[in-house]
Amino acid sequence: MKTILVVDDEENILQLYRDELTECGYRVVTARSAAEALECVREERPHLVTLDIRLENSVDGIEVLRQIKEIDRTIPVIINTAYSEYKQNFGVWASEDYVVKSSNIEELKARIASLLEIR
Amino acid sequence: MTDILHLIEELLDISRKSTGGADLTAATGELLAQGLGADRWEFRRPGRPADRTAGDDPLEVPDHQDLTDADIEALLAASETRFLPAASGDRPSLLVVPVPAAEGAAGACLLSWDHPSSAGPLDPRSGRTLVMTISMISANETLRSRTGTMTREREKHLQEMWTLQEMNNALQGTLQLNRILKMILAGATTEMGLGFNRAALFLLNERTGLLQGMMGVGPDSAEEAEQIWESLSRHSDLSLSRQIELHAGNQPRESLFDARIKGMRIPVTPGGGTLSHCVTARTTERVEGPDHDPPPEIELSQRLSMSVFAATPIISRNQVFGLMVVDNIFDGKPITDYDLRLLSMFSGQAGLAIANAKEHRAHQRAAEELSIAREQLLQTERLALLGEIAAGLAHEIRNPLVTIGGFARRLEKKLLPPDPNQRYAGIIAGEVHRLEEFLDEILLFGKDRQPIKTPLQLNDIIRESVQLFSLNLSEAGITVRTILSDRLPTVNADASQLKQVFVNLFSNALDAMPEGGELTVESSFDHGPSTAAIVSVSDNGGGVEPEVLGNIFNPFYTTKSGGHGLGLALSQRIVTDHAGRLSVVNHPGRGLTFTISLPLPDSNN
Repeated sequence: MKTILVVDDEENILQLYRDELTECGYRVVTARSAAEALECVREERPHLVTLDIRLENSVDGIEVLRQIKEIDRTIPVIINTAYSEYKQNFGVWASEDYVVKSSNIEELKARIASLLEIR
Repeated sequence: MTDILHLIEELLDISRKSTGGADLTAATGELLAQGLGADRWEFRRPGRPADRTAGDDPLEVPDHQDLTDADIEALLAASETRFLPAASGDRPSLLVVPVPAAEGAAGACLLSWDHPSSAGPLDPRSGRTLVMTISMISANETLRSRTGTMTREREKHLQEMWTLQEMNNALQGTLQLNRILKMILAGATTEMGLGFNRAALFLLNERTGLLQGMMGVGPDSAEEAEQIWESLSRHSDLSLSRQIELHAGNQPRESLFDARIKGMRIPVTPGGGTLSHCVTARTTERVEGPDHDPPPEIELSQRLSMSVFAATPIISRNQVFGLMVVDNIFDGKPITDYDLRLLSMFSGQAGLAIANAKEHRAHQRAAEELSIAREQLLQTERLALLGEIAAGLAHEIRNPLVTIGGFARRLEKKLLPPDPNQRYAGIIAGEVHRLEEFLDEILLFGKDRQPIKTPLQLNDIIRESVQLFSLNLSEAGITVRTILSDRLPTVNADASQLKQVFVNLFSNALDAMPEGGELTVESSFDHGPSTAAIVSVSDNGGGVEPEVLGNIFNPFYTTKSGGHGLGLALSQRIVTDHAGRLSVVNHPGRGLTFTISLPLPDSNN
């Protein structure tokens, strides 16, 4: 069973994603801050991470991305954010995918599936 | 003996009453003859035997043929009379009284007596007094006439200045070129203005070297001319400037003259006709017929029936704008020097007015363009600001929508019809979806995302990129060598993104050669199975270790302290977005060579 780490500062989103992804058969762990996220990556070594760019305390999501990659380059990271214009930010090129947040989780689920398959 | 005093009194009397000139001469002659009891008198001028004024009974020429011009002039100089007694019985005796110049009529009055006597009617002293009186009268006369001339001339000048002033006033009233042209022509044709029958304006098109007929004012027939003069005379109580304004506004329909003028194009060449000459030599010409030098352009007589006319160049700031052409075809009034002078001065004013109008128009246009540009800038700024606000809003709105819609969907999936709650959940999910789509739309005028591909020449992009980076390269002591294929077809790509890639690669090369070196950029055309454009960027920084090579395109991988290691990763992403490939080859001891291959558009195959 694959483990997915969902990083987002909104509790409601975490709950939604947890419910949805669990139903897909994944084990879901969540993190609400940069520190939590990195700790989780170190300890759990999830198979995939979904990451919101804007986390509380103005922590730069790109920086978190970089640090995750530093810990383990092989973990695919999907940037999942309400912002669409970050696509042009060169930092996000380091991620494996970029999915704009939507009430329809299907696309996110599909991307997760395909990335996990490639591995 | 004659009563000389009485005679002198009467002479002075005449001079007071006379209007001068020939009148005075005749009156003097008459009075002298009467006062001295002579039977005949004649006034004669030296050198002009035919030019004489005489009494009713003129002397006969043989009577005084021994009186020479020199004799008369000597008498004039001495202010003396001479009595020539009759030599024989059938010749009269003659008294010569010199009459000094009164407006250039210096000469002598000759008086003869039929009944000869040996003694003259005047003693020398009286004679001298008489001549001096006449001399005084004559001098007075000259002075008076000169004063009269001066007064007339001054009046003329004043009149000129006033006319010009009035016309200037009219012209000042507007900055519109069209109206100014109309007023200029109106000023040239009104009675109180220059008073010509017809006037036309030609403007010089510098680009084509043609004088283009712009406007013509004037009646089309003698009858029409009559009507116009009549109607204008009704307005004669108005000031000239007002008349001009009226006249300019009153040109009703297109007159034939105007239409013909508008259809005329006169070339300006060194060997051209009168109008052409006016422009090149900047002279005012009065043409009296076809044998003027240089001869008038044939179109003038052919199309306008213009044979006697005047033309003056319109000059401002040392530049010839065009010509004004006038004639008096209907009343045949000759164009005098005075007219020409006035016309010439008026054209100076016209030039100024036209120059002002043109400048004004240029300013207006510039102001308009500025205004448009400013509007556009504002608009762009507004949109940009709107984009920013929208982006901020969108994020704040999106997150809650994800939650609302996400859970509504879950409910919709869990509930089953005929439970109405299922339908409700569906509706909630649907509305959320609608909102999300709307957000997507309004964010479209935010920043651009996809590469905007246009057909371009890779070699151009390479050169521009080298140019962009040239300062950095030369400062680091790096020489650039470009070997660009001239048979490279166009590719479809985003120019600025490609430049980003090249600059990235140059930057990488710069890092590899801190002590200087050589950077080589090559472009070529791959004829292989999949045709592509190939660009390679090589440095001679000695190459890298194998493990570096393996990680080189990985994001955040960098051997540079302080580097972010994203440049090559980004470059690779850009190239793959263009359906191309970015790869690298290591030449140990020499350097790295990066190769970009971009597919060519299908139509180029």
